[in-house]
Order: sequence, then C-alpha cells, then structure tokens
Amino acid sequence: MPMTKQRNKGCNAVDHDLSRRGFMGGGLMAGAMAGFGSLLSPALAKEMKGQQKQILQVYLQGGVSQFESWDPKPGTTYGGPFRAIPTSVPGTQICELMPHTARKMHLLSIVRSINLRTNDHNQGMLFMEKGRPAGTYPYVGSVASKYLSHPNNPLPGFVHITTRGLSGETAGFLKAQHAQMRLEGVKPPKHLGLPKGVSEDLALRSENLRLQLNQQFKTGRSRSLIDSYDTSFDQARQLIKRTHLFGEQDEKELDRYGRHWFGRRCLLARTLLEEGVTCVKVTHHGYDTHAENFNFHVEQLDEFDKTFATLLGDIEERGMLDNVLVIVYSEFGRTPKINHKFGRDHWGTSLSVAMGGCGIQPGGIVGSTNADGTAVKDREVDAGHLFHTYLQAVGVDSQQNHEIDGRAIPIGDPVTEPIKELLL
Amino acid sequence: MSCNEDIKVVDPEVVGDVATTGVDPTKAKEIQKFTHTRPLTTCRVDPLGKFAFVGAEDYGIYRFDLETGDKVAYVGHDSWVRRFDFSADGKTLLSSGWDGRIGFWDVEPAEMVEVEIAAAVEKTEKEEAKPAVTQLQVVPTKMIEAHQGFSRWVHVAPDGKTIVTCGNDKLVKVWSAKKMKLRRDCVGHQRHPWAVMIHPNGQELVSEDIMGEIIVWGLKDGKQRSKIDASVMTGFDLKFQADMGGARAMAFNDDGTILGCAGTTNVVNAFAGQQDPIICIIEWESKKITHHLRTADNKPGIEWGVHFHKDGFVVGCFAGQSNNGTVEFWRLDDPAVAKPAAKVSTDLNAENSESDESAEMENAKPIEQKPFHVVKVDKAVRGLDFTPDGRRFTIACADGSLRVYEL
Repeated sequence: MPMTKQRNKGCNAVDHDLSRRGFMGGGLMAGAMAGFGSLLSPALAKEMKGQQKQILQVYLQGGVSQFESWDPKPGTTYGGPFRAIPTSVPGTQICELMPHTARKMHLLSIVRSINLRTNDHNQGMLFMEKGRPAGTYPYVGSVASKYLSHPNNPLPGFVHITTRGLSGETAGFLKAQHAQMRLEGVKPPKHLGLPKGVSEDLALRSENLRLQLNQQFKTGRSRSLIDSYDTSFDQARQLIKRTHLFGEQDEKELDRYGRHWFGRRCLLARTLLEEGVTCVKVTHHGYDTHAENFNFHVEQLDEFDKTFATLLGDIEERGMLDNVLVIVYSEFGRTPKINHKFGRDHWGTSLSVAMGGCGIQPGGIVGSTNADGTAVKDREVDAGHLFHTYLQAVGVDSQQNHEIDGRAIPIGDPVTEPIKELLL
Repeated sequence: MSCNEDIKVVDPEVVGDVATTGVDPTKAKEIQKFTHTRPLTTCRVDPLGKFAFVGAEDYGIYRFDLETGDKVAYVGHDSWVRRFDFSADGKTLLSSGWDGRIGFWDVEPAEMVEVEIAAAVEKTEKEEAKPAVTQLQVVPTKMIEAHQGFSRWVHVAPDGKTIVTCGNDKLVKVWSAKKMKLRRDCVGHQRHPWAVMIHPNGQELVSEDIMGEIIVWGLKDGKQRSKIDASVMTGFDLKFQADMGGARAMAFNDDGTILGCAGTTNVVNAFAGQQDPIICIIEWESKKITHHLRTADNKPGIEWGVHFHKDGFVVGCFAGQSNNGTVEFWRLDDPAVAKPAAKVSTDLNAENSESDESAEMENAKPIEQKPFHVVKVDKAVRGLDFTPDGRRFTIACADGSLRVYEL
C-alpha cells in the first residue's frame, strides 16, 4: 500500500482502500444507487469534494508539434512559419497559435526536454500513460482512480471522453473498476439503456437473476474480480443516471467553449470534475500532421486554444485548481524537418508537455532543446519522470509500491524519479 | 508604392493579350533551373517577364533574374510568403505573409545592400554550416499589418486602384491602392478564407474558404451578392476529425467568364496527404461548376496552381504525396472529353418524365476532364506562373529549385 504525501490530507490512499472495502461489504448497490452527494452529510461532502485531488488530461492525439505549441523556434531552419508570442509569464513565449493559452501561462509550466526514444504512436502513447516504455502497467488515470477516488463516490474514477483512439487495457493489474470508462463524445455510455421491447419489470427480473447467478458463481472463488466488474457496471449506471450530464448543453457555456466537438467535450469534462470524477481525460484528435502540418495546426489549435484556456480559467475561478492537476500532452512531437507535403512526421526525440494546477509550480519551464529544436539540450527527462511527477503532484507517492495479491510492484518506474523542481 | 491609376494594367493573371501565341504545350521543356537552399512555397513572374519571385521556407522572398539567374533576397517578412501580385504598372511587388502583413517592394530597386549572412541561414539539412556568404538584400518600401492572423492572399484589381487581401481573422479586406487605406471589411466567412480575387469587371470580388464556400462580394459596398458551393473541394477527415480544403490557388481567365479554383477533393486521409487534386472551373455568369479538372493518373496530392493561358488552355501544377509533381494542361472544349450526352426520353406521354429530370441532372454534373498533356517533374510543385508572352512558365519546387520551361 503506498504512502501518500502529506499534502493529500483529505483522502489518503490507505483510508480509501479500507473505506472502500468496508463500504462494499456494507451494501454496494444501496450506496451506488444513492449517489455520491446524497450519501454524505453536506458538510462532509463539501470537505471531501474540496480536498479530493483530481486530474484533467488533455490528450492531443496524433502528436502535436512542439514547434507549433510549447517550444517555438521562429526564424530557425525548421521553425516553420509561425511566430512566438509573449505570455502572462515574463520571458516565456509559446507559439502564436495559442493566444488564449498564453494569457493563462502563469497557471502552467512547460517541460521542453522530453525524449521518449520512440516514434511509434502506440508505444509513445503507452509510455506517456504508463510511465514505462513497456510492460503491463496501469495508466496514470487508473492509478489516480485507485488511490484518489473516494470510496463513497459511486462514479467512475477514470472517464475518457473521445470518439476514437488506440484501445488499451488502462487498468493493467489494477481492478477493473479503475479502467477508463470511455464516453463517445458527450453521449452517455453505450449499452446501458433497456433494449427495445424490454420492459422495466423484465429488466428488473433479469437483473435479479444476474445477481443470483453472481452469488452462486462467487461461492468458493475470489470475490474481487466479480465485485470489480459489478462496481464498474454500477459506476457506469450511476453516471448515466445523472441525466443532466448528457442532456443539452448550456448555450451560453457553448458560446464560451465553442460549439465544436472539443468544446462540448471540455464542457462535459468540467462538469465531470465538478461531479467528483477523479481523472477526466479529453482527447482532441487531429495532430498527426504528415501533410499540411501548418494549416492543420492553425485549425486544430484554433479549436484547442480558446476552449482549453476557458476550461483552465473555469477550473481556476471555481477554486478547483489547487486540487486539479491539468496535463496537456501527446504521444510524441513532430519532426524538425518539414517534408515536401508541408508536413512534419513522428518525433519522440525532443518534445514538450504542459501541466499546472494541483501540486505543480506554476509559470516554470523545465529543460530546453537546442537552437534548431532537433535534440534535448539540457535536463532530459522521459515519460517515466512525468508519470512520477503527476502522481507526486496529486499526493500519491509514486516511489512506493502497489500491493497486488501479495506482490509489491513499484507504482512508478524505479529507474526514473519526479521532476522535483516542478513540484510545490 | 508606385501604383499609378492611369497606367495600363499588365497583370497577366487576369488580363492577357488577346492575341494568341500559338505555343504547343506538348513541346514544353525545361530550359533553366535556379536553386535556393530552402524549399520554395510559391512563385510569380513580373509583368515584364524579367524576373521570377519565389517565397521560401525561411521567411525570405528571392528574385531570380530569368536570364542570368542572379539572386536577390527581399527581407522583411517574419514568416513564409505564399502569394505575390504586382501593382498595375508592374513596378511594385506585393507579398502576403503568414505574419499577417502585406509587403510592398520595388521590383527593380535603386538600392541593394550586400550583407554577410549567418552561415546557419544557408545551412542545408544534411550539411554542416558553410562559411559565411554575402547576399544582396532589398528591404520593403512599406509593410502593412493587414490581418490578425495570417495574410493568405493579395490581389491587385485590374484597374490598379484596389487591393484585396484575406486572412485568418476570417476577413476579406478591400484597400485603396494609392495609400493602402482600408476601405472596408467583407464579413461573412465562417472559416478561414484562403484566396480572394477581384473580377476583371472591377465590380465584384470572390473568395473561397477552407470549407469550399465561395462568396461573391460587391467591390464597392462589400456586401455578399451570392455564394457558390464548392464543397467538393473540402472534406472532413473522419479519422482525425478535422476539415481540410479550400483554394490553394485561384484565377480568372482574361475576360472573366470563368474562374478556376485549385486544391483538393475526395479527402480520405488529409493528414497523410491522401486526397485527390482538383481544379474546379466555374462559369461566372451561372456561378456553376462546369468542370472538374483532374490529373492524368489521379495520384493523391494537391493542385497548387491554376493559370488560364491566352491560347485557351488551362494549366495547373501538382504536388504528389510521394514528392513528385506535374504540370498539366487541359482544354475545356477538348473534343476528346465530351460533355455527357443528355438521355433522350422514350416516354412519349410524360411531359416532365423522370428521364428528362435525370438527363437534366446528368447535364448539370461537372465534366470530369483529363489533361491533354502532362509535364512530369521529379519534385513536388508548389507554384506556377507564365511569362507575359505566354511562351515560358516557371514552377516553384519543394527541393528549393525554380525551374523554367519553354513551350
């Protein structure tokens, strides 16, 4: 069982696990059906909500160009056509394609010296999510779900809003309830409604039969797996019972966030964070720009920039930023060399990530690349360092172990460590 | 700027000499090749046919003397330049840059400065930095902050009095050429407009955005007059969830009866460059797309240029997915590619039979036209222009070469 850091006073992982077990034993269904808020006294709910550490991951799928985002190199051989602009942090510049984000840079820090040593989408994505270049390990969202989700919270611990992407087993060796629940855009989870022609009565009888069969199946077996899947099912059901999450989105809010898919997803992400989901991941597609890199970045970052800055601003204004870690990342960056299609190809050798909020020193820049952006110049780190940093920032001691069926498995890769200068 | 409103227009893009040249495109051959160290983005030939100007992926504009190959750098933009035009008297070069600015430069400046440039500027990708070299440089006579966002296009009206630009602030802007004073914004594009041209009649302008929406505007009042649906030129890439399309080049023929818009169609995976090249030919009077000019082998890529030759054929340039290119020649009245014949109704009792409607619809479909001649190029071609006499053309290539062909 990992020890959490002192800053996570409200909900340490040991308490979580004990409480979860106790709660499960005390009546899973009753608790799940009641919903998070209604289970707790208002004062306790407020306290827990205020102290719960959460993560918002914004995944720019396909590999956003570091030149066109966090590490611009205007006027250099591979710099491309865009200029760098000043930000709210004196001396820090980012690409001109993100003017709204530039005004929020005092809330974020940039790591410009990441070397993943892979140019493969899947490998890069898994490395960035798991903090290890290979092996069956849980994603950071699943780890957060395990150690940060309050046991009385019936909602999923890790929700991923996307429409497509590389599939993966996000929970690894953790229980199934820590796997990502994937939402297709702003629609509720699939296959949870009643099939056509099935009445409520028939559904109830069917559910009772399922529970009865489950009980029989559990006899003489470990309960953990079945309980885990039961919990996952109930988490999904609890999510869609909150119909306000999946109804029409507020028009004024859509004006602020943008009416495109990414705007709608980020608005839902904000709501899910407010509802208490521990890790919310939003994917923005469209960065694998082997052709027309610059026109595509104009279009994609035009969507990303205002929407992300609005979401970040809302999180801050609601007083949530002290407890919500915000990460913007890709599976790799893009080549310095501009190809004949005005494109940039895959590049895992020198890329950037931005993060801010819970536990992160704001307004900083870690590391640098050389003048042409072809290599890391100093403070080289990889996704293992980032993984440690994320978890340490939200109060999980990533240098401790998971306890899985009596085995101790390091939470973060032992060969790497947190980027300490980023941590508060 | 040296725009003189009384000087006869010499813009070969919109107003050509009515006399034909009698050239034979099938005889086209490369006669010169000039090189630059960075890939080129576009090219134009000055109205006197003495120089070719190119944009490059290093912020520079470069002027090549078409006889000697002498190169002069025009330094002043903070970004790439993708479009040039010339003042009515041909003495001023106008450039639109992704820095949002419109540059004004003397085509033949009285002063040039010899500057020792940093070795890194001339460094190629595979080579180490070379020793410092000198470069003849020209500075702009004027730079105008034209757009919040990138200035995508600039065009000088046939009468030389008006300049139009468009940019990533989604605006089309009309300027007076004499003092470069903003006359009006044309507001209406929901997405980024990529090209804008003034009609040879001097009364209208036309712009196309990334979604293939073409808007016809009144030049004097800036009001929308009509829209043309060129959505065939755009596509939503479902896999990557992004739109890509729009006019990579736009031109009128000499009398303004037809408009050509070059770009892409049938987007499959625009992120990998998998879409078909196309030039849409629009009949101006009806505002209908009459022809889809397709490349000979329909390989994936982008059509980056369109030019109406005074001999009546259309010329386009293509950049392929595999870093090859072509220059292709079409005849709109090519007898070898006849318009689909209308079906004859056999239902004698039906006044408005389905067959009639079907035939009408068939007739309304644009003609899918193949070129009558193709010049193959071993590199992707990103820009095309003709000398005023119509006997030579230049192409800007992705390997940094400017190539000159003779017909």
